Amino acid sequence: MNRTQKGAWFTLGISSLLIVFMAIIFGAMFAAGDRRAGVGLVRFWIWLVLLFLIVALFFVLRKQSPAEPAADERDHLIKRNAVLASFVSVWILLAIETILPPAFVGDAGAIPVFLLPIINTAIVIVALLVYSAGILLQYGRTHQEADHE
Amino acid sequence: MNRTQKGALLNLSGFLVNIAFFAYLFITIFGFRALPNRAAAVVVLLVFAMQVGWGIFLYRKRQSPAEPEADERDKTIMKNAVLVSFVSTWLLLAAATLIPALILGEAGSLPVFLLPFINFGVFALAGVVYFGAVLVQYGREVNHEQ
Repeated sequence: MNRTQKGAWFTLGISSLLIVFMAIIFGAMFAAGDRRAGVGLVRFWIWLVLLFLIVALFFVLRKQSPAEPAADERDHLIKRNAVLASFVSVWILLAIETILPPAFVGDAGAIPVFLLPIINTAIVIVALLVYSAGILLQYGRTHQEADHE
Repeated sequence: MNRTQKGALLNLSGFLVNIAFFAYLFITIFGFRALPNRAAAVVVLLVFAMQVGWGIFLYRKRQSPAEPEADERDKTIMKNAVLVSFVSTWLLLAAATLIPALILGEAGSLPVFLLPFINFGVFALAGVVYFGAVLVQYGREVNHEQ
């Protein structure tokens, strides 16, 4: 596994953990009753994300063998294709962001300003997820093609 | 000028016309609190029709028989432009998140009918950046060759 693949696994892991983290916070914000009901779970998840960051960064930065290339031309191409996939996903998500709120609150409705950072951060995280999944899928495909040959 | 450049030039002008039209709509509706003039829509439609006609003509007519469809260099230029446009999208999204909070305050509310304007604005500016980046890269290569 080269550095691009390891980086993609790292991004995939972080973005998945952050999506769950955001879902926990979002759920806690709108939960009825005690405002501090979800704090324990949020704290636990922060520690989990930090632990993942430290352990995963060690594996990303450490070379598996001295011959492992940092990045070659194929890696650059794979990354560029993944950027394109991620870019398209951002536009789809922005279209959803435009269509969904009127469906919930009506055309004359309004959404709280504090929701915008949450929505846009979610878009960033999903875009990261698509980017890393795009990289790993392309490597998977290349391996399959190489096996067939 | 090859097909990619022609497409970029056409799309750039199309996006600029759309931005101007949406700015006009936004200022009329929210600035002057009036309904937009129908004549403006007719003018924009005419400009748009002219652009489409001009685009089809340019796109179909080859400037020389040797003009390639799209070579490896074109693909690289387009992928670089995607990256530039992607970065600009993140900056615009950050601005679209911060500006409403600055204007309306943290406890404020944003009318949902503003979301299409905001997101279309982000889309249009990212489009201008993309096609602008394509043209700038071609311009740079011509300068290098000279």
